[in-house]
Amino acid sequence: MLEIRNLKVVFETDRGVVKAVNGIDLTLERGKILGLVGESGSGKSMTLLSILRLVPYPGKIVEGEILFEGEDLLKKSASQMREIRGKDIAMIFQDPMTTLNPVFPVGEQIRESLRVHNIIKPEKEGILGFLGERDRRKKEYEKAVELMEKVGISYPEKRYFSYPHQFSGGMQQRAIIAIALSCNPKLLLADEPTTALDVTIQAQILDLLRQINEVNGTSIIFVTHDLAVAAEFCDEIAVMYAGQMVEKGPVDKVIGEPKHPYTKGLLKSIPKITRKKEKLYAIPGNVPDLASLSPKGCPFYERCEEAVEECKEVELPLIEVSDGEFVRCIKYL
Amino acid sequence: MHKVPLKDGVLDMENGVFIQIKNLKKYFIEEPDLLMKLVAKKKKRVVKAVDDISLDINKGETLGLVGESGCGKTTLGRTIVRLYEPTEGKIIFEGEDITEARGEKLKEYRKKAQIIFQNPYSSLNPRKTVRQILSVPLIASGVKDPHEREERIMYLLNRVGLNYRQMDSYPHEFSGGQRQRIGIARALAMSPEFIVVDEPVSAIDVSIQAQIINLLEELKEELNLTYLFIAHDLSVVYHVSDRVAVMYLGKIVEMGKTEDIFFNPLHPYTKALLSAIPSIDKSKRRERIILEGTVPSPVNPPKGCRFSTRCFMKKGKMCEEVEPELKEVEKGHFVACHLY
Ligand SMILES: Nc1ncnc2c1ncn2[C@@H]1O[C@H](COP(=O)(O)OP(=O)(O)O)[C@@H](O)[C@H]1O
Ligand SMILES: Nc1ncnc2c1ncn2[C@@H]1O[C@H](COP(=O)(O)OP(=O)(O)O)[C@@H](O)[C@H]1O
Ligand code: SF4
Ligand code: SF4
Ligand SMILES: [Mg+2]
Ligand SMILES: [Mg+2]
Repeated sequence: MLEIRNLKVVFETDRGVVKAVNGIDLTLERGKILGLVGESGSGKSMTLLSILRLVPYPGKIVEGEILFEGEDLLKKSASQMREIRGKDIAMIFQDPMTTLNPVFPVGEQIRESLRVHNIIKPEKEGILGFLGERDRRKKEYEKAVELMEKVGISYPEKRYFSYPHQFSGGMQQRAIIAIALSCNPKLLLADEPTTALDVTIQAQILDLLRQINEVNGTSIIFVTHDLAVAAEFCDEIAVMYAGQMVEKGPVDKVIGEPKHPYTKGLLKSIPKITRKKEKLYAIPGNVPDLASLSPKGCPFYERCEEAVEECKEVELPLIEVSDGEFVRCIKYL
Repeated sequence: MHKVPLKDGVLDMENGVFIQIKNLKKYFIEEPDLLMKLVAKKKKRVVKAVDDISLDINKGETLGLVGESGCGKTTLGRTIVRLYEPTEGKIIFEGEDITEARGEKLKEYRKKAQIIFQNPYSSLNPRKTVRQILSVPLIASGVKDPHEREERIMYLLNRVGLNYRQMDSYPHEFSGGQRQRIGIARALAMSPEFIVVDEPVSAIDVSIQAQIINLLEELKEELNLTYLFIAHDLSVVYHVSDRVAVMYLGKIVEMGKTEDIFFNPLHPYTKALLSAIPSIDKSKRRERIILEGTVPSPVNPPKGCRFSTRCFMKKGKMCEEVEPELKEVEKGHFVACHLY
């Protein structure tokens, strides 16, 4: 349903051109959950925002295609995009307050979103339309309450008029999921929706998203820096490093038999709850600064313990190592 | 000057309890602003962030402290190192009651008990160089000679894995992981014996977290430190801790050896918490207990057992009316729940 080809996003800064997204390829099938994993600054958010054409200034998409149900989103007009954003693709963010308005009741914001997307059609026209307005509002209210219930906000009628600050972080996240669901999207883009939450609340939200995926068949791109969360929640995993995709494939392959030295290193460095405690493996070095990264060669070169001289120079493609499993590393060339 | 620890008022040479916390409480009074007072008739609220906690920390151990955000972990840590004034209870350090220590005595205590903060971005003054940041604790601990101080700073930076040539750089010139190293160096500058390590890696990139955890462990060995290690990442706590205390809404609900807590959890809250840990290893995944609702407010904690509003093993009336005490149910394994 979604195919991204060679997507490039750059930021022109006073320190030079930053390649925030540097040639990403992705495919997502209907009804699947894709995990986009990488540490901060690796280009996950910019990839998601590109799909909605919402990359913030001074960033811009300079190359690539984003095919959604066969049509290139990068060729759509602004008004077509607006329609798609509300109807087909919805996004939820790590901080619910980027979506919620602090001065309106939560329920009203869900109702407003139903109105904007014209979910409950006005029944009458002209002067009668004015009379129909009350009816329409009532139906929207009922639908909003239904959505609140569906995302697990208990006593929805009572909470309808609560303000965002009266909700806990987990409840706010549920409210923006309700807003995202108000248009019954085919694709849900979730940018670190559980990063700020406690594990018990994270489990609740993941549970909710999984239900939405199973019941409505909504496809999800789930961005996280937590490999364990991705391992549990996603069907496919794509690992990003410094604006590039370094490995992608079915979850069992990427987690069970990682190929790229970065993926391998990350998996080794996570503390595990097993009887035997060993010193943690730590990936050496620091997270690269994109503005000062060498334009040539493998971006992981400085930190890679398997690097060879050629890695500094090569232009590597994503190499298919088995059915649906791809790696960008000289070892698999 | 080394004080021998006391147990029940008697000299306790054998167990050598290093730090004793007795019935510690820390309440915050929240005054509403004038407008809210007049318009909404808001009254002042008492936040019972730490509500009657007793625990011992042994010399050389790492005691892990876990629990959901807002349960009072940071408040407990900061109260123990006397950054917050305790509301009630006692803090006994090497047999000496420092609960109300002032002046010189407090200064002495601050040298021995340090803290590493969660957020490496906000805990360092952006207008001070690393040299200035590290000089403050060095001067406080009596290193007055500039040359000696410079040498100490070089040693400290080197020890935490930073280049001493960056001594005159400002915090923003460092990455998150490097800033946390500066925070660690600052805590070490006082040559402390005890450090509260408050969520040292939660704001740091995943590929750097293991470096910081390893550094903290090496330092502990080398300098014979004792840690109170706060984290909400349970895998990290499992990895570093000798014993673990689980907090819920201002109280300790379970405490024991790390292996006992993780492989034989007794309290329903601990069970739920552990079941929610995501794991990369399929075979290690536990059957998930999804807890209903959210943590109640520490302003009005539920009567009886504080977990009773969310507990899936509740025994009825008893749980709602009688507050369970923290009891030793197996050797060294404490739990506060009516099931035991
Ligand atoms: N406003 C901006 N100005 C300059 N560069 C930016 C800006 N926003 C993002 N970037 C660059 O884009 C890169 C990718 O950012 P982002 O997609 O937000 O990363 P992630 O979501 O993986 O943490 C960053 O490393 C940064 O270099
Ligand atoms: N300075 C303060 N003033 C008022 N309330 C506070 C203050 N610091 C913390 N609290 C409250 O005390 C409770 C415990 O907070 P904290 O110790 O930070 O929890 P944790 O570290 O476990 O997340 C929370 O309800 C918090 O809002
Ligand atoms: S290409 Fe070379 S440097 Fe890059 S990950 Fe592979 S071995 Fe390491
Ligand atoms: S005392 Fe009762 S409510 Fe509390 S944890 Fe035990 S069983 Fe649950
Ligand atoms: Mg992001
Ligand atoms: Mg805290």
